[in-house]
Amino acid sequence: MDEKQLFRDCLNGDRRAQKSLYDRYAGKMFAVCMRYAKDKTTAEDYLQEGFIRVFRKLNTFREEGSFEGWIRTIMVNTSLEMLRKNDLLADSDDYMRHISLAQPDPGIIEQLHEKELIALIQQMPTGFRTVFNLYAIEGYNHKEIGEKLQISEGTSKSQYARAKIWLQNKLISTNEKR
Amino acid sequence: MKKDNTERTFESILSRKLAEAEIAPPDDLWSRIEHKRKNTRRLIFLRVAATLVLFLGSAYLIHLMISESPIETASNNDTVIEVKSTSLKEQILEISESQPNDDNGSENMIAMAVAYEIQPETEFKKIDLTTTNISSDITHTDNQSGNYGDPEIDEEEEQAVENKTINTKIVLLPDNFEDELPKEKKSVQKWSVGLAYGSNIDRGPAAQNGPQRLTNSSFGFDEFQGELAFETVYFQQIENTSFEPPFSIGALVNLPITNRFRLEAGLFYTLLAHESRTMVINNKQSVFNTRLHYLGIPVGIQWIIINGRVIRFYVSQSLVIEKGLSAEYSADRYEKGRFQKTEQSREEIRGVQLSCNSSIGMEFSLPQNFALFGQAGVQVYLMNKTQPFNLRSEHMIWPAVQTGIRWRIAN
Repeated sequence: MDEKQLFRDCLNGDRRAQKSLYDRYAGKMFAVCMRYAKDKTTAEDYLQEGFIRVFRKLNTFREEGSFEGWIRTIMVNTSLEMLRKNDLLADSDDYMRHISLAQPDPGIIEQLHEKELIALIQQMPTGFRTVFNLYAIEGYNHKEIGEKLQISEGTSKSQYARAKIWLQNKLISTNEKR
Repeated sequence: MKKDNTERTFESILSRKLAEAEIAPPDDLWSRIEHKRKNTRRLIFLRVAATLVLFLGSAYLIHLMISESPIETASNNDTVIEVKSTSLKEQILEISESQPNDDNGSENMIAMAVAYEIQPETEFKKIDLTTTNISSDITHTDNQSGNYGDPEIDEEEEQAVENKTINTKIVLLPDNFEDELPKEKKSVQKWSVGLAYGSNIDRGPAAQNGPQRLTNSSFGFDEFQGELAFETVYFQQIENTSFEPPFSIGALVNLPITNRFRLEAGLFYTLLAHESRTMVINNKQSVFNTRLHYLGIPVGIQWIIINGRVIRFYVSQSLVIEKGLSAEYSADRYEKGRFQKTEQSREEIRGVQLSCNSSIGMEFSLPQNFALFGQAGVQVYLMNKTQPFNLRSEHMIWPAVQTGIRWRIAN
C-alpha cells in the first residue's frame, strides 16, 4: 500500500490502516524520540503521545509534502513539548568543566553503530542534546531553534558548540576504550 | 532551513547515520496507544455531554429566573398569592408601581388586562378604569357599573354591564385560572401583554405603538369618546396578531485565536414583521402591519468541541447589539368587507436591542476558508421593553436557528 492510500485509509478511521502506519514508521520515529529523551522509557512516552497526535491531526496533513516528514515533525515537536522547559538548560554547565577541546577523527563516527551514537547522544545534558538534535540532525538553524525553544539565538549557538565538544570528547574516549 | 555553516563534516556524517536510524519500540506500545486514544474519545464525548447539560441547564435556569419569581399582594389581611403567569405577574407589578391618579394611557391598558384576568367573565369595555383606584397596595375594591354614558352602546351590552360587578381587588387567584378562561379570551389576554410591554415606556402609547400612532383616538368602532375609549376599547378590538418569522441576512467573519477557540463578529440585517387584525364591529375592520428594520452586530466566541477536517462541532456564546433603522406602520381600513384606504407612516426606532445567543453548531468546510454552518440555540433578549412591540417583546427567551456561510480569516 502506498503512502497516500495509507494516509487516506487512516483518515477514514480504518484501524488496520492505522496499525500499518504505526508498523511502518514506529521504528524510525522511536529512534527520533530516543535522541530527544534521556532514556528509553521517556522515549516510549514521547512515541506514544506522538502517534496519538499523528492520528488526531491526520486531517491537517495536506498531501503536499512527505508524509514521513510530517510524522517526524510531529514527533520532534511532541518531544520538545514534553521536555520540561525549565530543565532544558539547567544541567548543561557542569559538564563543560571537565572536557578538553580535542578534535575527533570523523572516521570514528562512521565506525559507530546508530544505536551506539544514539546512546551517546542520550547521555548529553538535556540542553545540549536538544539543540544538537535540532541543529545537526533535523537541520534547523539557530534562529529557528531559538524560536522553538524560546531561547536566544546566541544561547542556541553556545549550546550547540558545547554539545559538539562534549560529543567529540565522548567519541574520543569511546575510541580509546576500543 | 539554512545551515549556519556549510562545511560541517561532523554534522553531515551524524545526520546521515541518524536520520535513517531505526529502533524497534516495545511490542505493547501499539496497544497502549489504542487504549489512550479510546480514553481520549470518551473524554470528548463527556465534554460534549457536559456542554449540552450546561447549556440546557443554563437556559432552563434563566427561564426559571425570569418566569417563576413570585409576587405578593401588599395587604396584610389578604392572602399572598404566588402567581404562575408571567404575563399577569408583570402586569400586576406595573400596576403596583403606577401612580393611582396618573392618567397615562399605558398604565390603564395594563390595568384593564389585570381586571380581565381577575374577572374573566367581565366584558372589557364595560370597565371604567379612570374611576378604578388601583393603589399601590392593590387591594382597593371598587364596585361599579360599566356605563360610560355612551348612547351608542348596544342595549344588550348595557344589560350585561348592569348584571356584572367589577372587582379589581387582587386576591385569591386560583392556580388554574388560566385554564378556566375561554380560549378566545386567552388569546386576547396574551395580546394585551405584548402591547403592555410595548407601551410601557416614557414615550407613551401614542409614540410607541404603530396602530395607536396611526389611529389616535379614532381607533374605536364608533369613534368612542376620546382617549378613554381609545384606552379601554383597544385590546378587545384585536382579533388576532400574526407574526412573520424573523428574517436575518448578513456576513460573519471568524478569527481563530487558538486551536480550539475562535472569535466571531459580523454585521446583519433583521426584519421583524407582524400583522394585527381587529374584529369587525359596526361593519368596520382594520388591519395593522408593522415592519421593523434592524441592523445588528454579533460579537462572540466559539469553542470547537470536535475539530474534524471536514466537519466541526462547536458551541458559541455571543452578544448581539441591534439598532433599529426604522419602523414602518400601515393600517388598511375596511368597511363592510371592502377596502377603504391605507394609512402609512415611518418612525425612527430609538434605543438598542441587546441579546445573548448561546448555540451549538456544526460546520462543513468549503474551499477558500469558507464553511457552511448550521447552529441552534437560545437567544435571550435584554432591554426589549425599550423597543417597539415585536415578536421579541413578549418572549424574552426565544429559540434561535441560524444557517449560512462563514469565512475564516486564517487557518
